[in-house]
Amino acid sequence: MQESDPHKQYVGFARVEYEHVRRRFYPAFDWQVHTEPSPRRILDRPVDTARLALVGTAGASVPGQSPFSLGHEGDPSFREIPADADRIRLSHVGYDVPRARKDPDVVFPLALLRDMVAEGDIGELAPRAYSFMGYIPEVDGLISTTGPEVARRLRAEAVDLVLLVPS
Amino acid sequence: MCQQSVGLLQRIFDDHGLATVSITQVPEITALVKPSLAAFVAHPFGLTLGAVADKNTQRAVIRRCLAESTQEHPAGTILDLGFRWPDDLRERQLRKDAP
Repeated sequence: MQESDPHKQYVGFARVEYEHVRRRFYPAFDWQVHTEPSPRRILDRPVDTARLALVGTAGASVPGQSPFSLGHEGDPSFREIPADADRIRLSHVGYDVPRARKDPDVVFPLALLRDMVAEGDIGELAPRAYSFMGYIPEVDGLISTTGPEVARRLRAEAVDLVLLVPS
Repeated sequence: MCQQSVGLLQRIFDDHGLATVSITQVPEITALVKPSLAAFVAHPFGLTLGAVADKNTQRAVIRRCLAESTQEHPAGTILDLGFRWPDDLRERQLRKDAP
């Protein structure tokens, strides 16, 4: 799917980030360029009756879990976050983590989603959210292993809708 | 780079038959990955849903995003939800002048 000289088509922040990551962190980095969109499945019930799962890339974890690797090579692993978790830890190389720690909902809105369930906006939360650390310049492990593993878990947990939140 | 990671995960979930919707702060990166449905908010990195303790904006972003999951949109759509940031933090981040 990659174009022969893809950086020439990058615009805006796609170009800024491409050049920044290659120069500072991971010289072999390139964007994953797809020519066709992935298939869309419309949510077939009202949101206020749906089972929702949160998948975030803010580097969230809970006490007792190993932290994400913050090295230049990135980390495609994931952490299971119980839906009732009340202590969210954040680790990431790409944003102001101390600011987000004051209110993890800004990047990993699990507590806010619980409130929205209680208020009737959402039917229910899936038993687990899934957390990645989004700095992943080498994506093979994400695409071949950890992403499909989370997809299988979401299916097994009868999730109606997945909300994906970057940081 | 989070935007690419989210887009790639969303593609995988889409391919497994799940209904999905994502948020993006950088539509030009999401346009490269082409997940099924993304909602653009012009918020800074690290403040995806809104400012610290601004629960009204955070709720509004989620509500708008989830509402689009039930609507007809062609695969690959990136919707602009219209959320904008009140100062220049995001613009400085996009120039790599702020964390």
